[in-house]
Amino acid sequence: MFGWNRCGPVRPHLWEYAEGTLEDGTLRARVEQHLAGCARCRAEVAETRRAAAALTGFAALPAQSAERPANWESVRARLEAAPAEAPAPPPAPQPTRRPVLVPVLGTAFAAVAVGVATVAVSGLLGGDSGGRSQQVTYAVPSTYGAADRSPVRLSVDPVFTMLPPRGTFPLRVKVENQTGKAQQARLVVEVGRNVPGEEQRYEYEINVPAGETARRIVYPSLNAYYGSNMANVTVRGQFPTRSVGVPINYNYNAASGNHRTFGYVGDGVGVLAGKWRDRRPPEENSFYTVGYAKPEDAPDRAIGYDSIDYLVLGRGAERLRSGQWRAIRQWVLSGGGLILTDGGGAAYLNAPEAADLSPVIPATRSVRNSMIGATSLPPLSAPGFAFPITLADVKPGAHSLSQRRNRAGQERDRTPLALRRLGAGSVLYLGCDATTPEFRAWGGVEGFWTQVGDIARPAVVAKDLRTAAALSRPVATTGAAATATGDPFRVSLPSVATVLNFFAVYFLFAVPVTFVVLKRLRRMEWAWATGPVLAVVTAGSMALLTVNLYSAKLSRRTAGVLVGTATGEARFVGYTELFFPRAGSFRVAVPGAEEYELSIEDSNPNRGPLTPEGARRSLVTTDAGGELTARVDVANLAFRRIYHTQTLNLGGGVRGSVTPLPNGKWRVDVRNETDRTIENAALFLRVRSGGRRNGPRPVGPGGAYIATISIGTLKPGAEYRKAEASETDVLPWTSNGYLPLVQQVASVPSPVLLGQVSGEDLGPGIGQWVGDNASVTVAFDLPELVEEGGRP
Amino acid sequence: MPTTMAAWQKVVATNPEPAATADDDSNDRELVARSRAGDLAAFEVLYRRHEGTVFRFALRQTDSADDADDVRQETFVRAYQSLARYRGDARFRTYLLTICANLCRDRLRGRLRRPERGYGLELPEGVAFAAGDARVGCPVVGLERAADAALVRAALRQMPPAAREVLLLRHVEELDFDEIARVLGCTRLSVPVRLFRARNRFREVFASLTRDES
Repeated sequence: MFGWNRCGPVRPHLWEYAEGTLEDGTLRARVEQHLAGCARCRAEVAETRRAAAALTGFAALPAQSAERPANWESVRARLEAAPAEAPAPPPAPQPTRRPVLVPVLGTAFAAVAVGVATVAVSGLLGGDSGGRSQQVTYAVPSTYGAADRSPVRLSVDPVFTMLPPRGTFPLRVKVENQTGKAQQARLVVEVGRNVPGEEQRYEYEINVPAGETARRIVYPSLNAYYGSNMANVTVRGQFPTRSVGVPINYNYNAASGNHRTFGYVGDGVGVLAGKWRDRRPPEENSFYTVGYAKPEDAPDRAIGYDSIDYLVLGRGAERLRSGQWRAIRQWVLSGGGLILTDGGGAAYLNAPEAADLSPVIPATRSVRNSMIGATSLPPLSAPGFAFPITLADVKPGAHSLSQRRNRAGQERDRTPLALRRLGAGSVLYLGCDATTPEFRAWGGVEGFWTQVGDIARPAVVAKDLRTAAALSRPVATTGAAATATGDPFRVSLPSVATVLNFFAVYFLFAVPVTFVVLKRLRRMEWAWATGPVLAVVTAGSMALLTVNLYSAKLSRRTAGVLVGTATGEARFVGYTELFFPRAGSFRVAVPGAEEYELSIEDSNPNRGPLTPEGARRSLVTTDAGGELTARVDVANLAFRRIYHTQTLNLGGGVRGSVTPLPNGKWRVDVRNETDRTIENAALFLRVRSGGRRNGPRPVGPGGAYIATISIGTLKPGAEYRKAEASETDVLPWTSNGYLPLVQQVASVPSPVLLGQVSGEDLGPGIGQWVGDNASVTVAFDLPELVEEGGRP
Repeated sequence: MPTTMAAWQKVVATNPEPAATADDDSNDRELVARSRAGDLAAFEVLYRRHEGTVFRFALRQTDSADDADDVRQETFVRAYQSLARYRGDARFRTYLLTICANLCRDRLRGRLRRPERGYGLELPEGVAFAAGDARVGCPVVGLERAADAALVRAALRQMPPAAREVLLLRHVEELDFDEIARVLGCTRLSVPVRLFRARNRFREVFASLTRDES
């Protein structure tokens, strides 16, 4: 190797050197230097010298042209027959068999092209036409006043400051109008990942009087981008005179899904100490994060609270408007943990909406300044210094967590700590103000809020409903043909393996066999006929595989989670899958919808990997006076999945009771008072074991675990009674309360209702406050969607 | 072999330019222009001037006088028919050799497909070449040189057509690298590489033939 490498730079010049034509002196010196030390190259030069001399002599010889004298006349005759500039005639085809391959292979490739095109077209390629094309652009008057140097200002901030983006991420938009005349504007919020055409767009009408500032909460949903690195949110104000845009980039942190988050609505900022470590083992928990919102900026839709686990109301919450109270209530119904802090001076508790939510009777509150060491807040560990404590009477249905007996041994009715269950959520009354500077300086404040969170934790967490809904599976399709083959959501398209096998059979079997047979028959020219026939048969077979999809009609089906109460109030979180059999622009309206979001995930699990919808997809939501409509543009037949959240009234609730038995089972009584048939019902029980482990059950934070009891079908007015119900499933209480619900719902056909069961106290053996913490999951048919538009 | 691109570039750079007379070129251009206008007399001059070159190359490449004769005629017919595509940026001789080399390649490919007309059938032995040359009777060529020429022919016959082609273009037709690249339809930088391999092959074959002879 070494010698070869050493000779390498020199060898290309050896021929010239041997010939004596190497003119470059430096090179010649190098060659000579090399030759002095390399016998192999010297021998090569000697050989080359002889060969080169012979070749030179050979080149000098005249050719044998004498044997074949030049015949200009024949050339001239040909040139006159085919004059210059004329295209050269193609060479005469050789009498070989090769051209026969052309029709065979040509038609084979034609068949592949047709087949691939068939699958591709049936695969709903070609996304939608995009929402941008419909964007309204206001003309800018050329004579706009020079005095209007800064006529409109737009500022955008997260509603809950310091909160990581997750789920629906409410933003507060402030529009300052200094134009001297009222501005009818449109707020456009775009969420996407820098992929053109792939975006969610929200449009809000807003009217800003002259010289005033308008505030508007907008609700871009980041659910579809959860798990990705980044989502871009752009807020633009389209005014009659100009467009002002504020782009915001949100970086996702993978750990954010693991956060337990508190939202604080009140006048304080940073009063919950921001972030602190949970003291449980690391595998059970991670951080707490707190976001702060001023009462006037608090979301007025329930989805605005989706990104938090617990909502803490403090001083200043009396400025909450009725719409905000309604949103908070709806959020609690779907699994929110609301914490009402008091400690005296909490004027907001006197508001009728707060009184309705509260587990205590506000009118009975009285403030008492505790003495050091004389007062505690069992089961909470309280600080050693004195702080005001408010006591109040517990409402029926709620229960005190801090019952103490008086000197006569009688239980006191008034309590500083009470809890009630509302829907899937819970409301905790905390009779002290733990946001004071003294509390924040107290070393035990982390543990204090940890305990408060554990107590207020609902069995089902609102923020996880979206995940649960995504795992729900629809049970019926509306608008489709009765047969399974006509239901576009059940049409199975061929898998990649099937298609590849198809082509493999065609290429490796059909074509070669035909070829060999024709060759044996000495009838290769028949390939001109057999090739196209094979191709047409192949293409036709491929088309047959997709014909069911092409014949399907406009169809939809809905699935999700419905959370109800004993009074008939219900919230739905779920999705509707739509099948559009043709291109067009479709308006989708769900009555009472709070949001729409176009899912990026596959909306048809059966259609196979060969039928992508294409990257381009968009959804435009228009908010006109609280009524939300969505517009979907499709460029071809297409599947779309749209998530929506809405509030419903079932006309009645689900009532019942769950009583624990000494043998570890439960007595269950459930009555369906709604006007719907409940199917696939199951109870969700969050059972607090009270420190005693019940067998091998995994017990999570707070010594609680989730138990589910299968119930089955309940018709309207029917009752379910079982003397000894067994747990069908006992799941560990994971760090964020995530798995129990998801696993359970995933195993139940949906839509699902989680209704409240107002139960009796299950007794101290299992837990003193688990009594009404039972829910029911039921099947439920939803209001239909309204579709408009669509061009044939 | 040089291992870097720079080494081959140096080979290209040190290659001497061919000795071509500017007069012939300008004369050729004028004749081409007239031929393009349909003047067959002008094209006849071109034919007379270059048919020897074309025939010689074709003969040595195909090793068949009949084939070489066919190729010569076909080369000029095609050259005339596609004169419009000749832009004049290369010598007319190079243009002819490009067509000729393509036709020779076609011939050789055709022979491979039809072994009954195999290569070397018509002129089977190197001795026949030598005798042929002796019959031609060039006064400046001695007997020893005729024997060498026979050996060169034998060596060329044993080389692959592609290697023989590049060797002939460089050492017999004396084209420079640019022209060879044009004829072969390859890049300028790959010419020295091909030439290097062809020369090595020729040297080895020639050496072995010389040893056999002795």
